[in-house]
Amino acid sequence: MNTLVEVKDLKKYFNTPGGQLHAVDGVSFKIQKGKTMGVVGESGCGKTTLGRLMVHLEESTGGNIYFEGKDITHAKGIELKKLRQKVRIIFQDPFSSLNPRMTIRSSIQEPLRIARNPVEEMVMRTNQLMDMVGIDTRLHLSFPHELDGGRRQRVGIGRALAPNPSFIVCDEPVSALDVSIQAQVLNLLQDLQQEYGITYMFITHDLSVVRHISDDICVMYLGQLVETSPSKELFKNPLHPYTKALLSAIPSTDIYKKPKRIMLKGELSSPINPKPGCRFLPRCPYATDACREPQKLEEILPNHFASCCRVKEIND
Amino acid sequence: MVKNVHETVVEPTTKQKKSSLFKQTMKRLFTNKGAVIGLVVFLIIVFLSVFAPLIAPYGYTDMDIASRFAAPSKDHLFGCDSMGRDIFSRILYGGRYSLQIGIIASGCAAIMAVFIGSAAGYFGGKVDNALMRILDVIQAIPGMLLSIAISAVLGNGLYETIIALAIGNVSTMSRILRGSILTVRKSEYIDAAVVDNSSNLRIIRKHILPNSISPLIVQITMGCAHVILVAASLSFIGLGVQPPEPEWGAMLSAGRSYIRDYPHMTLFPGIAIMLTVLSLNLLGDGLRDALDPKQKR
Amino acid sequence: MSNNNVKTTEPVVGVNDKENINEPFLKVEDLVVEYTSYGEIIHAVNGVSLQLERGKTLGLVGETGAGKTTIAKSILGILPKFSSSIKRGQVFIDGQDLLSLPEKEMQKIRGNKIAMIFQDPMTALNPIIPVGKQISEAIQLHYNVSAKESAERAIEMLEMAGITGERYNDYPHQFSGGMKQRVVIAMALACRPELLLADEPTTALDVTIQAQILEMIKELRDKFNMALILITHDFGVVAELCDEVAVVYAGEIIESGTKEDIFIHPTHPYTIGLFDSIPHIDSDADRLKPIAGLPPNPAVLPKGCHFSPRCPKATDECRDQPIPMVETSPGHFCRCCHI
Repeated sequence: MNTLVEVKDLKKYFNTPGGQLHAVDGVSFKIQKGKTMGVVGESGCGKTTLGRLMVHLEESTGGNIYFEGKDITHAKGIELKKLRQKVRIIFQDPFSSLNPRMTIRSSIQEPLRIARNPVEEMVMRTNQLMDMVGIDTRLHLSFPHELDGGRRQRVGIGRALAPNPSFIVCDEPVSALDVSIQAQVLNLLQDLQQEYGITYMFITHDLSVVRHISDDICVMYLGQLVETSPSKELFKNPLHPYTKALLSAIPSTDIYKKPKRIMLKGELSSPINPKPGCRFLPRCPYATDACREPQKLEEILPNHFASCCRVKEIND
Repeated sequence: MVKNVHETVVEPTTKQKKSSLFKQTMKRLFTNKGAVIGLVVFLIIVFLSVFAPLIAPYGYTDMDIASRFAAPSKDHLFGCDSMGRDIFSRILYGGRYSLQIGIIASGCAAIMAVFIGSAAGYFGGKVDNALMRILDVIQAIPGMLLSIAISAVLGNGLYETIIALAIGNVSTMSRILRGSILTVRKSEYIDAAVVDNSSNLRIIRKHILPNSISPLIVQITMGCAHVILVAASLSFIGLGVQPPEPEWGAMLSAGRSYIRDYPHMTLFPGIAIMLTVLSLNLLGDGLRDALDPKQKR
Repeated sequence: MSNNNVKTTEPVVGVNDKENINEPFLKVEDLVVEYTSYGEIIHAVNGVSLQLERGKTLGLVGETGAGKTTIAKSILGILPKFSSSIKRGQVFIDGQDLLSLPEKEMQKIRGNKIAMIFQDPMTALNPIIPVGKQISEAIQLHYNVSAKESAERAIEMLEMAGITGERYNDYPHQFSGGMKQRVVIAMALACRPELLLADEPTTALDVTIQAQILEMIKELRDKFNMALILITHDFGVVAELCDEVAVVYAGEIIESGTKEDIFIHPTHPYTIGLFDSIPHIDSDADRLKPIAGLPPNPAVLPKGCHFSPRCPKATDECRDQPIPMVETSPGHFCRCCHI
C-alpha cells in the first residue's frame, strides 16, 4: 500500500456568537496514491471545510495532516509554497472561482507566473494545459463570462493542474453543471488521473457521482466520519444507520424497483457545542442509551470502518 | 534570440485582453444616452476652461466702470458684475478653479481611499476596526464644518481648499471601496489565488481591486461634482479661493446682494455649477452600468 | 415553430364547451414564448403542447435553459411583462382559456386553482412576517373567512405539511431549508389548488430531506386529487413521482409518453444520451457516455432539429426542416426522423 495523504484526528472549530462550531471533529483517513477518495455528506457536514483544511485555506484546530509521509499540518513560508504546487483544489462554483477580469489563459497561467517559471516554458505549459482540459485555441483569450459552466470548470481544472500536482481536492466540481456536461467533466477527471496518476479527494453530496468516480468513500455526518470503506463494498453493504438511510433516500431511475426507504425523522441538528455522544442519535431509528457515549470508528469488516456501537446488532 | 520570439507570443495576449475589456466598457457606455450627454457637456466645460484665455473676450479682472451691472447683451454675453467685469469671461476662467478643485480633490481622496479601503477590506479584523473608527470620527463631523475647520487652519487659497476637500471625501470613498472589497473577498477566485501562492499585494492588485474598483470610479465622478459644490459654498461664505479670483461660488456670493435687481450676476455662475454637477452625475450613472463586465453589451 | 406537431393537427373541438367530458383538465396548445434581451430575441419556448388529467403527474425534464420554467410561468401567467411575450398558443384549464383572461380574473385563479412552488423556498417567503400569518393571509385573499378561521386553516395546513402548529408564529429564518420548503408547500396548497406547478422543489435540499418532501408531495397530491407538473433535471425524482414524462430540449418537447415509455424505451437520441450520461446508482460503468457539445444558444437556434448539431445520428434531413412529432406507440411521441 502506498499512502499519499494521511489525516489523523483532524479538527476544525469555528468560534461563532452562539458557541463553538465543530465543523470537522476528529476525522482520520488515508488516501492511496493514484486513487480517488470520495467524501460524501449532506450540507453542513463539514466536507467542504475538510477540503479547505487539506489545501491550507483553513488552519486546523487540532490533529495532523501528512503528505508523502511528512507532517504538513502547520506548514509555513517556503514549505507551504512548495506544498501548494503539489496539493491543489478545484472549486465548486465555476461562476465565482474565476476572476471575471482575467482571460482564462491568464487564470491558468497565474500559478506558473507566480512560481517564476521562464516565459517560454510558461507559454508552452499553458498551451499544453489548455489542450489537456480540452479548450479550443480560439477561446484562449475569452473572459469567463463568455463561456458556459462546463468550459469554465475545465479552466478551473487546468489551473489546478498547472504546477503538475500529485494531489487534487475536488470540491463538488460537477454539482453546478447540467447532467450532459457533468459527464464530460467527470470523464476528463478520470482521464487525467489515468494519464498522470493524480490522487483525488472528491467531495460531493451526489451519491451516484461518488460511486462512479471513487475507489474509497468516507461518509461524514456533522463533522465526524461515520463510515469508510471501499466504494463497492459501501454501496453493497452499508453498516452505519445513517449510511443506510442516505443510500435508501437516493431516487432510483429504475422504475420497477420499489425502494425500501428508511425515512429519517427531523433534520440535521446544530454543529454548535454538540453533545459528546453519537451525532446521529436524534434521528437514528436504532438509538439506545449506549449511543450517548462517544463513538469510535472501528474496523467491522476488512477495510470497512463504521462508528456505531450497535453496528453488529443492526446488521444481523 | 529564442526568448524574444516567445515574448512576442505573450505580448499580443496581454494587449488584446486589455483593449477588449476596455472596448467593451466603452461600447456599453456609449449606448447610454445620459452618459454620452454628460460626457459631452463635461468635455465642453473642460475645453472652455482650458482655453479660457483664447476664448474669453475680456480678462477676468478687466473692469469697465461704464458697464457696471450691464444686462446680458452682444458685448457682454452674460452681462457684467458690480465692478463692470464681464461675467462670461469670469465664468470661463472660474471653471479652471472649480474643475481643478473638483478633479484634484476627488482624485487625491480616491488614491487615499484605495490604500485605506484595501487595507481595511482585505485584512479585516483589527486593521479594519482601527481604520474604520478613525474614518468614523472624520465622518461624524459634518462635511462642510470639516472643510471650514481645515480651511481655517491651513488658510485660504486654491491648494488649501483642495486638501480640505480631499480629506472630507476620503471616508465616503474608503467605505465604498471597503464594502465592495468585502463582497469580492468572499469569492472563490480569491481562495484560488491564495492556493496559487499569490502574495497579499498581488491578490489585492490583480484580483481584488480590478473587481471592486468600479463603485469607486463612479464615486469619483459623483464626488467631483460634490466637491465642486462644497468649494462653491466655501467661497460663498468667504473661505476657500479669494476674490478677485473668479471662482464660481465666490461669484455667486458677490452677486447675492444684488439678486433682486441684477439676477444675471447669480444666474450664470449658478447655471455653470449646475451644468457641471449634472454632467458629472450623468456620467457617473452611465459608468456604473458600463463597468459591470458581466453585461453583454 | 413546429405547427406539424401531431397533437395540434387533431381538430380542436369543444374547447369552449365545458360540458365536454373528454376534455383534459389542463391543455396547453402550441405555446410559443419569446424573451427580448439586449435587442436579441430569445426563443425560450417553441411550440409546446401538453395535456394532463386531475390526480396525474407530468414530469418536465431537461437541462438549464431548456424552457421548463418558462412553460410553467406561462401557465400561471407570471412571465415578466416587459421582456417576454407569448407569441402564440393557448392554455386551457377545464376548457377555460387562461391566456385570454384579464389580469384581474387571473389573480383569482392564481393560488386558488393553480399554485406554484419554486426551487429556492427563501424567495417565496416574506422574511419579516411569521409563516403562519403568511399562509392565513393567502387564505383570506381567496376566501371570505374571518381571521380566526383562516388562522385555524393555516395551522391545519402546516400540520399537514409536517410542521407542528406551535410554529405558527415563527419567522422564516427560524426554519431550516427543508422546513422552509414544507412551509412553502403548505402555503401553495392552502387554497386547495387543482394544479400544482413544482419547479425543482427539492434541488436545493439534501437527499434525506428530499425523500421526505417527495413523499409529502405524493401524499398531498393523492389526497387532494391534484394535477401536478414537476419540473426537474433529476431522472430519479421523475421515476419516483411522475406518471407521464416530457423531455424538453431548446424550448421543444422532443419526447413524451408514460414513465414506462421514457424509462424503458427511450427513443429520441437526446433522451438516450441523457440516460447514458448520468452515473447510475445501481450499476457499475467505468466511463460515462456524455452528449457531445453544448445546448444551442436560444437566440440562434439551428434550423432543423435543434439537437442535430450534437446528435450522433444526424443527417442532412434533420438539419433542413423542422421535425414533426411522431407517435411511435400509443401515447408515446418522439420528435425525430430516424426512429
